[in-house]
Amino acid sequence: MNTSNRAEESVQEWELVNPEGVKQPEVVKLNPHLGALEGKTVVLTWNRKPNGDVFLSRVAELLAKEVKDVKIIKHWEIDPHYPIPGPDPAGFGKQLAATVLEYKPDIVINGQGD
Amino acid sequence: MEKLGIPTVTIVSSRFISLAKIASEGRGAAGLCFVEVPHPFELISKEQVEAKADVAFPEIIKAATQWKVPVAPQQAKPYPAETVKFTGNVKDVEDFFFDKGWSMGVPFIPPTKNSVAAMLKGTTRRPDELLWVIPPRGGLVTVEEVAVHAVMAGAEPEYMPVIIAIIEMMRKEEYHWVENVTTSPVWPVVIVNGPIVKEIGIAYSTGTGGRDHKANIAIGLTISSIVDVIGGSKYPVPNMSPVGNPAEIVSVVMGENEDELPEGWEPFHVETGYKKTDSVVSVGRSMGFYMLGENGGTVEDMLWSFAKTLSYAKQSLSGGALLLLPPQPAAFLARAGWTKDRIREYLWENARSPASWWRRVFPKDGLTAAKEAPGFAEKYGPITPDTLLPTVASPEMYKIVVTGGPGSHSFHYKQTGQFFTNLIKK
Repeated sequence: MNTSNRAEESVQEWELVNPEGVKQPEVVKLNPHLGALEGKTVVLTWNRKPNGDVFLSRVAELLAKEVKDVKIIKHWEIDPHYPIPGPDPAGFGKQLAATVLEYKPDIVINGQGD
Repeated sequence: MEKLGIPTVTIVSSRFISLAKIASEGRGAAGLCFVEVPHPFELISKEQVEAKADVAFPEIIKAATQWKVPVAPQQAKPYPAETVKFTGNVKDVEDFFFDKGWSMGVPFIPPTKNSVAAMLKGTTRRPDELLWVIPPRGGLVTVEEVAVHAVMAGAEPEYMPVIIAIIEMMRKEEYHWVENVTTSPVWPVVIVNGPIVKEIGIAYSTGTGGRDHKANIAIGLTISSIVDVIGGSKYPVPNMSPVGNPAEIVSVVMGENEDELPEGWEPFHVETGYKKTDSVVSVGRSMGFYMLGENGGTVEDMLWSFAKTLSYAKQSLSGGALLLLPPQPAAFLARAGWTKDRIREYLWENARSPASWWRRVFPKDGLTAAKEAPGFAEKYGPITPDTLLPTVASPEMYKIVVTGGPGSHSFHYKQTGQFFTNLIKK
């Protein structure tokens, strides 16, 4: 930083309060992952961003080809009420989670982001 | 899903991986399992997308089968806030804070222990009270930290109850502040009603949403500073808006011009069930600000131009609009017998766009969304590309506030979502 043209304001000792605050403690217990996918139920969920379904459909194809006896559920293809944009996006997330739970997944693979 | 006991693997493009990690940490899920895939997914061919899946697949399998739950980090106490000793002049302090991510880059008043203590005299709330855990960073906002940012913003202690009342609404899950790091800029919009407007000098007449009004600006700057520094909504990551907007620097705070409400028009807070003598904040958010139509010369032409301005498909059924009518156009409409409810109904019927526009804006699910919108099937029957669809979910999503000074132009904030009202308690 070039400080050569900075005015000579008075230097002083400050005791300043950190405005950043501490972060949230970890409150969500993350779940251990499966040792193998053979014979398991894998649910794929899509956040409706363009081509997320294409990507996940390809993942589903590869899973079916490479993993023995895996049950694959592409949530967006079987849930007729998904998604409905509305004034309550937080409620929509809970609704989605409750629906996915009904499939009794062993693991969920989500597509997120843009 | 993790909270429900289901392990997850989340696939995120490289452009969004930092946001994903910050957002998951902010929700208490630090160390969540991600698989990063090169950006983008959008605007490329099906074959290119599938090729990315082919490359990522071994990593997805590894994540699903071999990922281990990380060890949780130790948690520091939120109160009292850390203090730091620093030697330098004011500009040195500003550079020090900015380099650490402790400011937005706007000049500020250094928050000394003494100045924070003085600011806390503006509220009866305990300084260690936790008000909010702000996404995406998951920063803990105590009353003390609110005072820190109020000092930085040049606020007066008597603004503290208003600021705290705003935060209490922004923290509601339904307010959905977590969306603020989306690819469009989002900022809070606050309407203040009741005696406190004049008590602390909140502007409600000429330029109410603009410069030169200290209370409005200091309150708005405090809110923006909190969501930037404690909440971590920073550019370029995790805030993903390609362009941003100046309204993100100072959140919008305006008083309603209750002195010049037309006969029969209730104040904004009274419409939501408060008494006229209550001091209330109504907190929404927005993604855009513009003039609302033209004056037209006749009431009918004015309302027609309002409707045309609002007929934009991207407004979508999840948003609303905040209409800002200065006293002159409000009186013009009221003299012709228009009430707020009648204006809302008119806009509901006339601010529409064809369903074919929806399909262009939402390529995959625009028509589906329209077909499944509550009440649409009953009211409109089969939705075709020519069906005219309203741009908000219901007439009530058009919020009308009389604010501003002399002048005939009206304005609006778009995609405002819901407004949440809160009593201001000193």
